[in-house]
Amino acid sequence: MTHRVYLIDDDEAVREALALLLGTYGIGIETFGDPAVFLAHVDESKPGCLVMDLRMPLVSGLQLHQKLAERGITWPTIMITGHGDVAACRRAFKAGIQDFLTKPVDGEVLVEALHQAFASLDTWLERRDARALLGTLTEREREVLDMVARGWASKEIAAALDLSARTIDAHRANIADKLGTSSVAEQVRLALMDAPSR
Amino acid sequence: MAAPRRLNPRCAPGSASLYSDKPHRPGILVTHLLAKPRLLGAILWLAALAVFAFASVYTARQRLADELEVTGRTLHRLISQRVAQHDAHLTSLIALSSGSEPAPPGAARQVMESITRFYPRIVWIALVALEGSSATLSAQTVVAVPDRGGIDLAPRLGEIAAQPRGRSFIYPADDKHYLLAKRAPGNSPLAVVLLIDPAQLLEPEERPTFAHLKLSLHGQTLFAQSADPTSGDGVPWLTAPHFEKVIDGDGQQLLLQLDRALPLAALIPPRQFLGFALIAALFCVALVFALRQRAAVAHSQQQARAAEARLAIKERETRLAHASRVNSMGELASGIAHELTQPLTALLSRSQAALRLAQADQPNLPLISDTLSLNVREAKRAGEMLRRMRDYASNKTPQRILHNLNTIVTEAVALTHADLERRGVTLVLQLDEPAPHALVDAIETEQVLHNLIRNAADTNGENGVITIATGTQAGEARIVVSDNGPGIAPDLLPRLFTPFVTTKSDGMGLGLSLCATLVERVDGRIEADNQASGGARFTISLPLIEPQSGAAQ
Repeated sequence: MTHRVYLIDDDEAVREALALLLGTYGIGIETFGDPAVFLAHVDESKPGCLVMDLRMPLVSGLQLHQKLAERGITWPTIMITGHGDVAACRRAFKAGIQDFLTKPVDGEVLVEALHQAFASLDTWLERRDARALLGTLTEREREVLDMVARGWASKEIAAALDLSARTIDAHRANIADKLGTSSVAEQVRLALMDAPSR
Repeated sequence: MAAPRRLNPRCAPGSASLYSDKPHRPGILVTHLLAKPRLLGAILWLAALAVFAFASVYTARQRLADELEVTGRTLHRLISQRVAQHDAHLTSLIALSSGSEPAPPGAARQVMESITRFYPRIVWIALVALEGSSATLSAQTVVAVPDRGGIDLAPRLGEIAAQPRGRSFIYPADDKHYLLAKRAPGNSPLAVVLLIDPAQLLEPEERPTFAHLKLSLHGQTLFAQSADPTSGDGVPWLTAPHFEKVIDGDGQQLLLQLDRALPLAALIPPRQFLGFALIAALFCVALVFALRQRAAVAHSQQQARAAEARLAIKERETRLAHASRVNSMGELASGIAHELTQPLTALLSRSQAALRLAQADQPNLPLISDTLSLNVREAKRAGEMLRRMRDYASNKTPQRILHNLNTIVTEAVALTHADLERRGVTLVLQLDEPAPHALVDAIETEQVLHNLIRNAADTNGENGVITIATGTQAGEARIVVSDNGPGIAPDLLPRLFTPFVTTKSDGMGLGLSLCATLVERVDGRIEADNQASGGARFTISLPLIEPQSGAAQ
């Protein structure tokens, strides 16, 4: 599945050409010539993949990336640059860049990179949703879910928390209700999705 | 004709002053003198002579004074002994002629005669009887030897009569003699008188010849003998040694005085002085010679250092100029790359988009057409940008002047000489005569050669031999730089002068490309190949100009 693509590049011809090219792949793209304008207009509720030039006047690609991250926008980002030196590449990857491509960029390479980015965005979105669902659990319910994720039976959980097995069962029913699934496997998947950020 | 070219136009005239040494100086005067060895030598010589003369005078005076003192004491002892004998004579004569049983006058006479015989300095002996009181005092001669001679005692009678008995008293007699008198003890009227010639107190051989000798009594000179006139006059600026002592032989108060003149010859022995002066002069001449040698060596070392430093500076400057050219070429290349990246990106993307559009089931021809039009415009824009850059890069025109290529080679070699020597690389020059001439920019051509030489040295390493030959061939002036290194890889040869082609790990690959640019700017060309023997060979060919044709621009 494709997502929205935001392209930030100070060169109009590049923006226009890439938009045209990605259009032929059926990838929707919004272009911005000025990182500041993008920062002002970016909408957290419309996640997409970012393609930005590393070297732009006033604000560099990496700085823009940093500013977005401060606002919690950690969408997959592809950096494109005319100066593909090793140091810049290393810095970009350390900052959590998804991919690093040199100009002139081959259309197929870019599209492939974008598809990977879309996959990453899928994961990101899933994780975001999982986190939202998990956020509805009470502290005790979360505790119980973590133990379930470790493969403990209700009795074991009850013993560990010094509660009755019936209470645990009640918690588990609530959990299933809130997460929208009674499948233990699904519940565990959601619980683990939140793990890296904890 | 060829304009006179400053050999080293980039070397500021003041740069040599960096090497004028300013070491710690012991003193301005010494430095000043060291700069004039002859003056210094003369001053040192005179100083040595002065010191020698002073020491000589000091020791000689001391020695002469000591000698006088010793002589004086010896004479004093001799005279004292002899004067003591006089007293003994008086005593024995009085004892003989007075007392309870005086000897007959004949016996006294006998004794007196023997005394005068043995002691010629005793000129006259008289035994007198003093009669009468002070007013009518007279002396009756009892015995006198010799009978005649002697002197009239009358003027001294009063003093003799008044003198205490038993002791000798001395009185001046005449110019040459003195009297010694003694009264008999008891109530005897007798007294004995000796007339003594002081000149005979000392035998002639006992008298010193080097000093003025004087015997005096109560200020009256009794005997004086001058020093030998051959010993010379004393110098007026030095106090002469003096000896003076009273001979106090029981009432005989004679004064002995010795004076010694200090002649210059005795103070400063001429032969020794001349000998010393000669030796000192030899030393000073040697010193002057050594100082001059030293100064000459220091001067030439300084010259060599300065020359070396000038060369080093010039080489550094040439290298810098080359590096900055390469650098600006690199900057330019980087700038071009940056400027071209954007249009190329657009071109590529749009072309790929157009391609995809064309391959679609229902190609959107107007969109394809628009896209290609945009690409055409983009490509033209990029071409325009490149043209502007080319114009910018080539607007610096070389200063083409008719030059002797041998001179340029020599200059370029001088720049790298020190560096090559350090690396153990040998440089062989084969300069054709008459020298080929060409219209070139000297500095740029030197740069090209400098670069070729350094390249060769870099690939050759130690024991490398770089040969630079000039010559003419087929109406062209040639400079050939060859080495005995591993040569150029065959696959590299065709693109050797292409920018960014390099075999050096730290090279940018612009050096040879710059060389080609510089040579081509003056209508020349540069070629590279490998010699049959293996080493690399670079040939610079330039349009040959005969100097007498006066074709300078």
